[in-house]
Amino acid sequence: MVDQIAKKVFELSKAEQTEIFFYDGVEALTRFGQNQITQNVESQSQKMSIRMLDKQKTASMEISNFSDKTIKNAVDKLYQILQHQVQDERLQPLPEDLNFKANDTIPESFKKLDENIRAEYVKKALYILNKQSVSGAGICSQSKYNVTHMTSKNYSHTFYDWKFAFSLSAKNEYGITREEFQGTTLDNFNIDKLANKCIDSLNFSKEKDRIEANKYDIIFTPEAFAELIQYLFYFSFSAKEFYEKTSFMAFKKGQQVFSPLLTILNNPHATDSSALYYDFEGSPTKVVKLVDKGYCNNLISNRYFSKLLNIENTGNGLSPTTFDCFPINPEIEGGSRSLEQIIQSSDNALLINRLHYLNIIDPITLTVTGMTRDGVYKIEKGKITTSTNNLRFTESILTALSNIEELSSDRQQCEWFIGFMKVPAVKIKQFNFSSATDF
Amino acid sequence: MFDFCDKVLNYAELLGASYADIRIIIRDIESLYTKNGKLENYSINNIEGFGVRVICDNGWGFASSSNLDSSQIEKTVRKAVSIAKASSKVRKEPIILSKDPPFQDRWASTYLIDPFTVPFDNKLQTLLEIDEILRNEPSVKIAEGYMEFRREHKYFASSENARILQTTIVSGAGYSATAVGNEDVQTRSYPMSFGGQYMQMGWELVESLKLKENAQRVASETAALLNAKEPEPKVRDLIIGGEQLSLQIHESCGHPSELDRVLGYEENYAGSSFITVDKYRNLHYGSHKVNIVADSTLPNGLGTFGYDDDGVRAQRFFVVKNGLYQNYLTNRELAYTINEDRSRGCSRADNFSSVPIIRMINLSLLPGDDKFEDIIAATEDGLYVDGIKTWSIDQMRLNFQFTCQIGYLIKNGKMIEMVKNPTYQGITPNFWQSCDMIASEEYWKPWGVINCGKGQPAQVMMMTHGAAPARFKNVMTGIVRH
Ligand SMILES: [Zn+2]
Repeated sequence: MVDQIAKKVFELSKAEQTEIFFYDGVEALTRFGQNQITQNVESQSQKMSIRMLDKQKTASMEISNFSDKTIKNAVDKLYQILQHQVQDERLQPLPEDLNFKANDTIPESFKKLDENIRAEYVKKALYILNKQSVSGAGICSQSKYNVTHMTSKNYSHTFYDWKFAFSLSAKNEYGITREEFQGTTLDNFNIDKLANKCIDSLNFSKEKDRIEANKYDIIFTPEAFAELIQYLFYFSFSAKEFYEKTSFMAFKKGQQVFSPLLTILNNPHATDSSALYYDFEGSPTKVVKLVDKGYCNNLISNRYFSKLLNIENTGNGLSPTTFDCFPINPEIEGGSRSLEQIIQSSDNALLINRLHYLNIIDPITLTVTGMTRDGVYKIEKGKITTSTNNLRFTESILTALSNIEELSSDRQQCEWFIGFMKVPAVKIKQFNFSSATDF
Repeated sequence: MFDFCDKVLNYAELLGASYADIRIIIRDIESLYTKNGKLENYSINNIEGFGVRVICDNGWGFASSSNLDSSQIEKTVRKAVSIAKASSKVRKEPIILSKDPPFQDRWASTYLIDPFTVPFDNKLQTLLEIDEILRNEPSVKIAEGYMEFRREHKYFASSENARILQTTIVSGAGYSATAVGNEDVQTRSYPMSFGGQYMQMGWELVESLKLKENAQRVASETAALLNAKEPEPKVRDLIIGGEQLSLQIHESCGHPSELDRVLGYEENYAGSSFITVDKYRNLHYGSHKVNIVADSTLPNGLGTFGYDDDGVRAQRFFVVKNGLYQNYLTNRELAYTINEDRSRGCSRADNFSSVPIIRMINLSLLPGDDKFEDIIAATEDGLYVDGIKTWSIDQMRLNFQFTCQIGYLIKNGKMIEMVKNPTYQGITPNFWQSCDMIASEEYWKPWGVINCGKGQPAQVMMMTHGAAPARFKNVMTGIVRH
């Protein structure tokens, strides 16, 4: 169907070059709270953006109705609009001569999923919690989409992304905790294990200690670390921000900025995630070492900025008109010991299960504020002893990552807008907390 | 279109739905984004589709399709019913809808000049002229301009015989200047952050904003921020400008007032609320000066409509009156849980593909009786802040920390020095209880929020918050570094 629609668009278009992005996806999500399903939805959508490029001018339009009449109207109107645009010498020609379909072998466990199986998982999780007088809230979701990028110059690239997620918050009179699973397959998903882990964590909450804002040695679970580190990924390594001098890389590229324990990859070809072999400009995507043992040697780039800065095009161009670059499937290399071993070898630290509502104060030092949530635990002499109230942190990510003491060998797949980010647990010394709460 | 609706509702009934509703949305969006003299992005979205919501066997189901062809009806309704039946397997409480009457009506927002008829060149020219003024300031390295226009037709029909057509036009425009230097980045925006001011108005909004007239001032302020210091952390009296106060209302009053949050339906995502059901009518939310009103009838507000997405008529009610907490934001599904038999009309979905959830409507702090100049003059040791930059608040909506774009230290009734990254932190009820002065009606302005995220799958909603500057006593200001 997409081929025919594209053919129609290209035939009708009077522009020198025309491209389409055709999105076809289904997103379904079961939400529960207070021990019952409270919301349950599925949405199916198809939309197509058409972009024309003519005499260094460009304009685009998005439609969701693909009748002959709508397509003709859209193409005519877009060409008309194009005439009024201003010239922009930065615009790159559209990609040509490729026919590539990414791997779409969806595992059987994912194919079977539907609203009934999602309800069964929810029921099972709640049964395990309720037996222990614990109440549950969360989501069970599945999504699947593909994007086909075609140009009038014989270029066609289809990319698939699918995900399953289960998130469980468990609450009793002592406190609240959370566990989740994310993946492209359900082969490693064990709902009993997930729910029981919540119950174990709540048992540590029976004793509560009040702590005040201060600097503490902390251990973040992979999920908490992922919440923090996403600000590094969004704001730091893009060639655009480097050029505009709005990221630390403009001042520190090539230097050792972080602990030598830290190595970070941009890994678009990750096998257990949605691999992306071409970016949205049609450039091949490359594996890039963003941080190598603490050294920040490399940027991620696209066609325009790689030429401008005379660096390699890494194929991270996800926005052809605004020239933004984002990491694809970023991953942090793990250490040699498990999270459990790191806890056992810690004398005095806080274990932080999750973070909440982070926001950036300064993009250069990556100073971020946010809250802890769903479990803060005291570790004393290698053991979790009590839980504590929540704290607000205000800390520079640059400082935090130079204070890394250890990374765990076990890593988690955490949310990222294309594919996942793969993140270990981390121990950081002297992390700054700026205020406290009573709960 | 109502024929299409009838077919959907009939089919839902046939499959056993005890309640069904459908929303059809046809939406056009035109957006311009300029950066450093270039039109960085120009796009037009013409999106349409329908969403069906059903109750079946005491479970909720929702399904949607972006295809408005009648061939999609069976498949989509079947999906919604199947989902409702799956939901009913994990359901303890009965679903009891409030007794709001169904309406048959048309409603439209008002405007003078249809923004879709304004020539593209006028729009672009307006932004590029501002761009030039901003970049005349040497340290301003990034100038960005925004304009967006939306037109939406929304058909709503329910199995209770509601038939409502609403048409809305929204316009928005604004810009920001970013100065880069001294290994620092500072931004000022006008008329407000995140794309500027948005209202249910036509092109006349853009003409009324005095965009060009303010550009030089904004550029100079941005440049000056590069040489400003951060305020040292200490407890001071804090005066908050209208734009920032609109966000304060949004985060610390709006979200904790959503009844679904209060009941734990958002526990796993955005969190819950400190305004629990057992104490809400006895809660001293703020000082006696604090009056906060929810109002979906506010002229030109982004949360203004004839009827919400349950088909409930727009209304105005106190959330906080003379400092006492009064009312939650509710919908037809949850009103009964607090023993109310009518909804307060806060059910909203951001698109045809989203299920309606409890959402803020317009929420405003009523003006006080002080002159802004008098508030400054009455402050011995204080900090004035405005311009939204960074916000964060905990999962109960108690501990917040905000950083603004610009601040001025106040000594003995005078603003004496500009400061950058002015930050303040507090605990919601203590903070609102410390409110002792609110500027009068002449300083009161509506501020449009276009990026309020809530729910899973994520929905982005618009609403307006009216506010005049106000003073809060003894607030922790500055960034605390141990
Ligand atoms: Zn919000």
